[in-house]
Amino acid sequence: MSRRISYLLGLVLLIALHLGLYSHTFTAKGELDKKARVNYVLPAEFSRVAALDFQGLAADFQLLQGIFFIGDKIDRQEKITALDWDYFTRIIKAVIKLDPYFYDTYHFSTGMLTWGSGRFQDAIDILKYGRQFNPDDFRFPYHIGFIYFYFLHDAQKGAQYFEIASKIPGAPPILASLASRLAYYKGNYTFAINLLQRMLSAERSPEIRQYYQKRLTALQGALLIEKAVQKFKIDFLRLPDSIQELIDKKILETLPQDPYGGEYILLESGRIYSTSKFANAPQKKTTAGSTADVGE
Amino acid sequence: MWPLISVTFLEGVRSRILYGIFLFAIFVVFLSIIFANFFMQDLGKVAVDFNLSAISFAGLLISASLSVNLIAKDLDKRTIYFVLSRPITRVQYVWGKYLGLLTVFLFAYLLLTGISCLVLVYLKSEYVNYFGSFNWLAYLQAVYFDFIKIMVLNSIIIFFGVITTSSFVNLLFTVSTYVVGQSISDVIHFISTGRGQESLAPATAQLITVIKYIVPNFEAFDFKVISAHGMLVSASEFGYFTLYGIVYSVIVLCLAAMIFKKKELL
Repeated sequence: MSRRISYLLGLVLLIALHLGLYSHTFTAKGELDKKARVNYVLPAEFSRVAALDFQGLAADFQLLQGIFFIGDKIDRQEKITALDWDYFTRIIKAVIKLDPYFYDTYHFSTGMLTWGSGRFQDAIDILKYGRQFNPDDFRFPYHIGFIYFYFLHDAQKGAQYFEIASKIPGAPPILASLASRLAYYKGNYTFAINLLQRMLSAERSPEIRQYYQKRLTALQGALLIEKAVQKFKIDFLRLPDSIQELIDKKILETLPQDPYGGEYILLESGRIYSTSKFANAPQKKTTAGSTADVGE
Repeated sequence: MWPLISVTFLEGVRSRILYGIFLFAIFVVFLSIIFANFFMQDLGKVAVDFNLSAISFAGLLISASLSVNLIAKDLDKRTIYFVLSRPITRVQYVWGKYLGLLTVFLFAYLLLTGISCLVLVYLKSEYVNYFGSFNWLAYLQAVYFDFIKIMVLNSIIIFFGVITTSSFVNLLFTVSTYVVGQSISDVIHFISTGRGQESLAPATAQLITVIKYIVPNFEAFDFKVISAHGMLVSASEFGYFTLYGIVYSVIVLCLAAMIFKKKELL
């Protein structure tokens, strides 16, 4: 009897030891992996062959690797360096070669490479590659048009792609008239808000939703103030001296908060911008050609 | 030949290995419910990838365990003498074993496809907006072509099975043929590019061209990626790929039967 009890006791002790060791190795290995991250992506030419007839599954796992890599950094609000974005871009370019029809790859990478890192040309290249395989999907020319128009300030190319998108069955009817109205929308936050709302409605990951929601709130705040500036201009036939004047004259009830921690500022043109440049402080320095371009 | 087919079928379905493989495949199929949640829009595509891969991998595992041992076991346990003492020719033996194996695979594929369909029905009802490109016909199309792939692979296993008495050597030859067959179209594509022509000696390129007619093009039966996106092949392509699989298998089995006819059984 006592032998059985000591046997059970020993087993319980061993299980407790196992649990302790497991949680230690789990965290310790995670930290070690982070320090020694190789950031190497298997070239698609190789992974295509190595995946044998499981290319679709290989693409899923590789995209998951990219989502977790960037998602984890966003979640922890860590600095995303240029090298990190290089690594992420390489993953995406490998995934689209494994499965060029997989829309999640384009959806996620376009959002991250434009709003997140300002790598507009990479985003366009990825979308153009996807368009070759998905010619009946309006979302590809639509997103390319948006990047040209909104981020690269090329209204002509933007209009060209919106027109292509509008002719594809299933495209929203608004696209048909959008191409001709691009000049009006130039630099208008409404346009970006519409796109962000579309992306948000299609997004399922809570971390990425939060990421888009933050930007959406910031742009909605800027738009609210801009609309108040327009009203002020109609009422007083001049631009306000400061945003505070909008509140003083009761045109704006309260000043919206910039979720990035900056302060909204009134530009000479009457446009509204923020001292945060609509970007998280740690990312601001590292993202070349960052989203500071947005409101220009 | 019918008794041989039914005996092979019964021997196959009674195998414990088969049920182990079933459990593994069913586990992967159910794993798709968890993994699909990590993605944003094409949840249907991810679910189909998992389910098709589980079925395909199960097919490969059954081939590597059950099929490879089939003839080797008969030779090893001397049961082949008992079979051949009956009014069954050696040619009938080869075909009977092969067709018996196919019935085992048919049973396995029907069972796994049925279970995976249940999982997909559940996922589709749960995430109805994220199954936009999903198409049942396309799904069944991929399973069908995977079965054709297994049909070809098993004819090769039978072929190597009559040449060698060792199941391990048979496995090595079969795996090599599968890997080469799966990647041959990529290699051919590489050769056709400028970079490939520069880096490969002309003799090597010619050798690969010869190999492409000998080794089956397994990639021709891989419709998993396009089926996951709901795309269907045309009727003519469907017929062409099926015919290619059947013709290749028949040739290999005829060769296997010819070799087995002349083989000295000690």
